[in-house]
Amino acid sequence: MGIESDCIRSIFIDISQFFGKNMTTTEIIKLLSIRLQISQAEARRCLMQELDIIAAHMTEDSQVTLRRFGVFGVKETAPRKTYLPSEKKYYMMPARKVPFFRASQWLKDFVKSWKPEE
Amino acid sequence: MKRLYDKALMDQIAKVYGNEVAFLSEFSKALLDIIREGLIRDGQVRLHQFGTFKLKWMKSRNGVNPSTGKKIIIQARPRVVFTPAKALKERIEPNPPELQPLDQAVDESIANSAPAIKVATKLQKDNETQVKVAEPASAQIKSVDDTNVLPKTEQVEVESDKNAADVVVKETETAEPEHVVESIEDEVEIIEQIVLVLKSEVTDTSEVSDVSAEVPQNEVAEKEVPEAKTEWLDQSVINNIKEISELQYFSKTDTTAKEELIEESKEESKEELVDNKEADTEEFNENNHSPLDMNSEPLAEKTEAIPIRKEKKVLTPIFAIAASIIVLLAAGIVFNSFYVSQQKNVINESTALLNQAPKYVFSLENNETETEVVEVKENDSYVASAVHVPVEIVNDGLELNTLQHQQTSISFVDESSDSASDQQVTTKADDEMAVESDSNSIVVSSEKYDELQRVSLEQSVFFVEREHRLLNGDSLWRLAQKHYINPFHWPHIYQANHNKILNPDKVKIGKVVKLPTLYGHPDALTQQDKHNIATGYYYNYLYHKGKGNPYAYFSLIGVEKYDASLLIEYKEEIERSDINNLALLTE
Repeated sequence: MGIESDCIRSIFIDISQFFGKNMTTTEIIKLLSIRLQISQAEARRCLMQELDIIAAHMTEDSQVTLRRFGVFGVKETAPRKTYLPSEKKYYMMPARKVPFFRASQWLKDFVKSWKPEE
Repeated sequence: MKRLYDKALMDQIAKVYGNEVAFLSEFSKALLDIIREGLIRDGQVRLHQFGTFKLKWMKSRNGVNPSTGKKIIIQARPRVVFTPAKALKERIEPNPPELQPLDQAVDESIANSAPAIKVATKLQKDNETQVKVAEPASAQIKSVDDTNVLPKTEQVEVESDKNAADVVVKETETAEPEHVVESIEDEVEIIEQIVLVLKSEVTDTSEVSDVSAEVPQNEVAEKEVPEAKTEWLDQSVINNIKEISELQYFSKTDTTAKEELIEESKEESKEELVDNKEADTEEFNENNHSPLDMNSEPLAEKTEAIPIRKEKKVLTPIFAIAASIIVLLAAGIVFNSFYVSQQKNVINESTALLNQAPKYVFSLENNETETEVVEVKENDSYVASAVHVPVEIVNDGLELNTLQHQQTSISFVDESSDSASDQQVTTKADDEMAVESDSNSIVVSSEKYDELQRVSLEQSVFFVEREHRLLNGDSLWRLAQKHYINPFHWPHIYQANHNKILNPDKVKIGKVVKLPTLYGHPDALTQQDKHNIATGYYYNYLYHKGKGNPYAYFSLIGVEKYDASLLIEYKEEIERSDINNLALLTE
């Protein structure tokens, strides 16, 4: 684990970044392992732990706020009327629980430089 | 509702899975950094079995500021959207409620909804009952019409007096029998009888309905009661409204009549004093007066007064604006004078120092680079720049206009303080660094940090080596200023990471950089530190030489300043023209 090997790995990742259009968990784990200098298995385990506990709190209707990122939570939708075109009938959709994410102001400002490709 | 923050979350993870809190906090920081970078890079980050973060482009649109009511153009911007994964949805709601058919759903919704709908449904039900009640009566008549001819009319007449319902039953039973018609006279008689029967039936039905309304024992009556009530209610309401309107009308008329009477009495009293003609005019005016007419006369006067008011309205804001401008100007003058005086002090100090010796001023200007530096050289001690860009040599004289730029920075190095390192100085500096305790530096645990501090105290080292993850806004110049106090020691970092960082002027975010140890105080460096910094300047020279920068030899000033022996070491690799240029500079 020298500096040169890190350099080579980062070059490979740069290439994958160039072709890839969306960041996935595998890439996140690779980057984490390089930045924190831990094994990929450990990085995966830690990631799953964090996401697991955030989800566990969301089931209990409690909000989780992450600094400079946003808020995870659950909200209830109002009951509404729906139409099923397969049966050609109207149905009543009861109230449901839906997870939501609200981005913080810091993230909004951070993302401002982004523009869509055309 | 419960709310969790970063720290509590980390504590909980540590409690459940048994990890170190310090490590987990670093981990979460790195994770969020990566997600943010991924959002900017690709516009989409997918976390397995959790959800996807996506950037959605919102076009610019017209809006209104709710507080002021002014029209605004809301500029186009990206929006962060989170779509939860199926696994997360199922976890939050393991048993989702099923769809309900609308008939049941409507009843439930009505039960929960406002009472206005209840009344409407009741009315509908009442109407249905009305139809049901009305049906048998019409059926009776129809059945009679269908029969046309009746064999035993006399019996029917007798029975019809008793009850109409029985008649219907019998008629339906006797609908089929044969026609017995012999002559026209008989037919006429029969028709007359039928007419009589029909009349009686109609009267009977009306009687029956009345009776049923009075007697509540019958089922029909029970259903008809609300109908009657509603009718009564409606009528009563209408009557009430009519009465009220009439009353109002009458009251108005009464009051007018009274007023007229009073006016007449007044007029009579006035007539005695005033001439007849004048009284007539008064009468004319007073009789035809109305609220509109009363206002119309003074309005004419007001219209003349309004423009004066308008002028006032226009004048007041002008005064306010003028006053505000004067205040702002005064504040600006005060601030300017203060700023200029502060700046003059700086300039005076610099001029006082510079007048002692031959001066060389290098003003570095480039928009691409992050920092702009003005270099000052004294007798034998001179300082090199961090950012190597095309340099313009100003004449021996000093042009102070360059100093007025905001980002300019001056620094002097005294060789006289190049004495041995004092322990007292180092300890003080260590304490300061401990208080700062950078959030970005990678220190795995507090124990390790304590160890580093202890080592620095034992060895009398100014700065112990550690690792740092580069973030947005970081540069080697700034890092050196933060950790080594003197920003001109930046090659100390570059020398340690020259394999990782190729271009020292532009550094990539996210890379982990090694901040090497500094043994002496920045004002009193040891020989090893000087050697390291000189090598850093040498690497910088090589990089810019490889790029074809004609001003690359400026970094050799640093090499000569910190460790001149390196120039002899790398004599073959340095071009001779550069050394000649250096000699010209140092003359």
